[in-house]
Amino acid sequence: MNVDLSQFYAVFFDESAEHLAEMERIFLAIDPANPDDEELNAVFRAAHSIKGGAGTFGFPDMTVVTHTLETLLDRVRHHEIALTREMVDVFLRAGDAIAMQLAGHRDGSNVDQQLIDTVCEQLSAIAGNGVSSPSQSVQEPVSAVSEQPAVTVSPVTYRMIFTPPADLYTRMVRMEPIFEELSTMGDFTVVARIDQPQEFQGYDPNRCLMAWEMTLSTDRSMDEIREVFMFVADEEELFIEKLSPTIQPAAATTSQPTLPDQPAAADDGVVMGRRMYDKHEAAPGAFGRRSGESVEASSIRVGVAKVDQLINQMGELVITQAMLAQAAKMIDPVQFEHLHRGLELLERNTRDLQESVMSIRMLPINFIFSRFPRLVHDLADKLGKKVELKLVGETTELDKGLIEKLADPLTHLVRNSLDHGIELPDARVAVGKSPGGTITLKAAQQGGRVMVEVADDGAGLNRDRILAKAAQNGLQVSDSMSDEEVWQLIFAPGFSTADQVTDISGRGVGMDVVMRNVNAMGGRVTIFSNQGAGSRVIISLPLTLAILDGLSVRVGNETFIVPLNSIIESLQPCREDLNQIGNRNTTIHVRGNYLPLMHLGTIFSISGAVQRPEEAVVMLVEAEGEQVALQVDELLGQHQVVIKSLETNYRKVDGTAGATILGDGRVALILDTVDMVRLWRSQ
Amino acid sequence: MSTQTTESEHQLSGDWTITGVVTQIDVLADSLETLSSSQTSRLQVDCGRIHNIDMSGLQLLHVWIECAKMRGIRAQLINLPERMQQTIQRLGLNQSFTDNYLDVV
Amino acid sequence: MNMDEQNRMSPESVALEYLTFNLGKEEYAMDILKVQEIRGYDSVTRIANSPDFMKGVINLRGVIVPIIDMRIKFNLGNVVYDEFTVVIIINVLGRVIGMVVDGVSDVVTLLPDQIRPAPEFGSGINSDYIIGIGTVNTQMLILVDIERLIGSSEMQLMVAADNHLDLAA
Repeated sequence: MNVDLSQFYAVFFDESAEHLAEMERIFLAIDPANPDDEELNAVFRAAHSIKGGAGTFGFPDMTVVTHTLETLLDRVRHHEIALTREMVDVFLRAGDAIAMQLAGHRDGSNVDQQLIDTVCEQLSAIAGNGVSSPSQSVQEPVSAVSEQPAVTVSPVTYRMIFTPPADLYTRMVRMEPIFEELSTMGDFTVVARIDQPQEFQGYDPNRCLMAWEMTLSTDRSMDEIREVFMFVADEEELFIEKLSPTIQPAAATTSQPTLPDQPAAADDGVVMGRRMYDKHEAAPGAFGRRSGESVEASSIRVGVAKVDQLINQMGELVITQAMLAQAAKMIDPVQFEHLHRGLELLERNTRDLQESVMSIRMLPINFIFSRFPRLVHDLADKLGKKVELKLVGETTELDKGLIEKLADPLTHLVRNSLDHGIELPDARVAVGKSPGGTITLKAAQQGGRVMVEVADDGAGLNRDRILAKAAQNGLQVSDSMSDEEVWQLIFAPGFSTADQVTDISGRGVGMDVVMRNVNAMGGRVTIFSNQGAGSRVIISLPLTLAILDGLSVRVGNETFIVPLNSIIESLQPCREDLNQIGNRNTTIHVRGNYLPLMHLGTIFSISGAVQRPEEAVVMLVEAEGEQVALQVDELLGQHQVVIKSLETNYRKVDGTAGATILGDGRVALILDTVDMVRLWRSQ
Repeated sequence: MSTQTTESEHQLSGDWTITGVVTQIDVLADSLETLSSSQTSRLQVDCGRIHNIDMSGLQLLHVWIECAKMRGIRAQLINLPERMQQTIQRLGLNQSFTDNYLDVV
Repeated sequence: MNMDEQNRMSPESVALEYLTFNLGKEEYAMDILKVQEIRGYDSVTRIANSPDFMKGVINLRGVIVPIIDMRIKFNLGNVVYDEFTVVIIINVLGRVIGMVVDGVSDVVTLLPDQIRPAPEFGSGINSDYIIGIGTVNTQMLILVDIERLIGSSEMQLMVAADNHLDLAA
């Protein structure tokens, strides 16, 4: 049988990855001397969930490690063993081992069995030597599992009915581990019933016709029972009810389980059989969640392809709406007032819908920021440095596609700061700094873009060394270069001033790749550095990928779109304000400032463009801190445009940030002011 | 991989898990036809050569046996491999199989 | 040997279908499976500072598609744009691209033994991109390896793939 199993494992892989991330996050933040009970419970549950899934999907290697970890965590959360710093480190490494096993199953990557064995030994060693927590021995034992008052824990009997969907078999689910797990939780019985078809002809052996009725007498909670079915049962497939503690489990021999057709209503008003990942996603601090969201908020997993499809269709809708708006200009506004009002309403609705749709793909940047505490922790240790990581603006949202592409460059920058930026504690003290350094990751939305910054209070860039290295590499340098120009040198391929190539980031495959990756996203990199005090690297990225407010302009017989948020003002200059310098350069005098004038017709070699500025229109635009003047023939109108990719079938065009389709069906290029300035200067 | 049949005895073998059930079913369907047109009223089903069986295989077996029953044929499962017995047990299928078919538990 | 050479040399017992088109006086043919559609030449938006054979881009049902004029690129035929001008929209290397040609004829089926290796051409399409010469009745068709052509650096369509940062510590 040729069944693509990957789709079924995918959920397990995703959710286990989230559990591992959650565990890591908690371990990094936990105070061993005074651990929070809720956090201990959370890591236990995370390990427990992974173990359950590993069993269900037949990954015994993972089951072994997670089981050992889980047992240990169970004892820690029950205060049977005291938590120590060393134990936390072992737990972190156990998480890594499980992650490695997971990657092995998911990606086929290499699994270092030695590492796993070592981790298991260390876990066992802890289990053997575990010291009981002295502070707890005087208190009444707190049972974290029972929902009953702590004095006596009386088992409750539950009755569960699992009515799986028809594809249970083809999803390669195994029920035996689930029943086995339940039997470890107390007195467990299970009876299967098969929904017999009337005839053999037409019977499909792939379809599941089995259902199970179970009883379990346990001191565990209903939630914990539900958790066992986590990867297997949806809400409506698992029915659980609490039988009175005095009632014996329904005798398995007397009755067959009835199969409810619809989801049974809960007796005690509790939501039945919810998948545990929903619950985890709502937990505070869960991976990637926005802060301030209500704990009851649930979520749905939707494939990226579906979201992209939705966004495309949204884009088409915007184009169509623009076409209607254009066509409506011909229609008498008085006679057809209703039509015009309707179209205005349509424009508002479309805009609202568009914002909502775009926000689906937006994720908080914490998605990638969250990997850095661990990275900084480990790397700083390895380098013998003391580094504190600060995260600012981690709830800032970015398109999912950008976030994924940002991960690599950002990681490289952070490693750079750790490796070359922050000095060793002694060296820092010697120059009057605190022994520990700080790396700050900051994200904020600014003027239609997202700025992501990596800053450190380390040694800063060494101007002389960079100049020397650049000269050594054969680049054109001079001492009179400004600091900014010198920092730009490190973006040259193969550049690295590291004295020895450390295995961390000094291999010369560095900033040029960061630059290229960021540019490919439509972003830009800028460096600020203060020798001795530290550096800042700022990446600026476009905010949304798809829709833009723009002003359409005409040059010759070609139409271009200028992003509205980069336009300061438009004017028609007078002769007196213009100043020609040399052959090619003109400046325009505006309110005391002399701004360079860029002639679009020249830059894009457009024949028929108006030559004299005083007969044209000049737009003052902002290009990342710089103001320039752009000369065009005529301003046409303001539109919302859908950004279409040029790179999909062609390539990036200098001076542009994509293209769009106008109301008449023609293609128009969208200008990128910063890129235009660069293009103009290079010509 | 295949299942052999003679009138009053069936030999089941091979892969009775989700990967194999689609193959097993054809022979079973044919034999059901043959059986109902013959005079057989008792049938021995030898499970000794079943290599591997899971819940889909057990479901198939159960469904087939019940269909045979509806045509007046009583089936008896014999020679169950230990693993098969354990799987029946673990999946809560004891009642479905023991009560009705198994002579040897 | 690379895939292209293998494809050219290994005999296939399967007949392949080709779309024939003409550039100037010569008849060419390309793998029909790569042809998405045939259009006229209309509303092409110019892209500044691009090679002369790169005419610009069009809107193909909401997708931006570049249009290349093969006649300009290979110095063939009469470069006019009128109602008879044909654009073949092809789908190669994961991209949709339009090629301007003088005209399109039939779809022909060629068996491997109807294809002979091509001599070195003095002009026209570079022989690097020619699979061979196909003969149908008395007609000679120059079989173009369209994928190789479009992917070549001289077409300036493919940008070098992003290098991924190799961050293994």
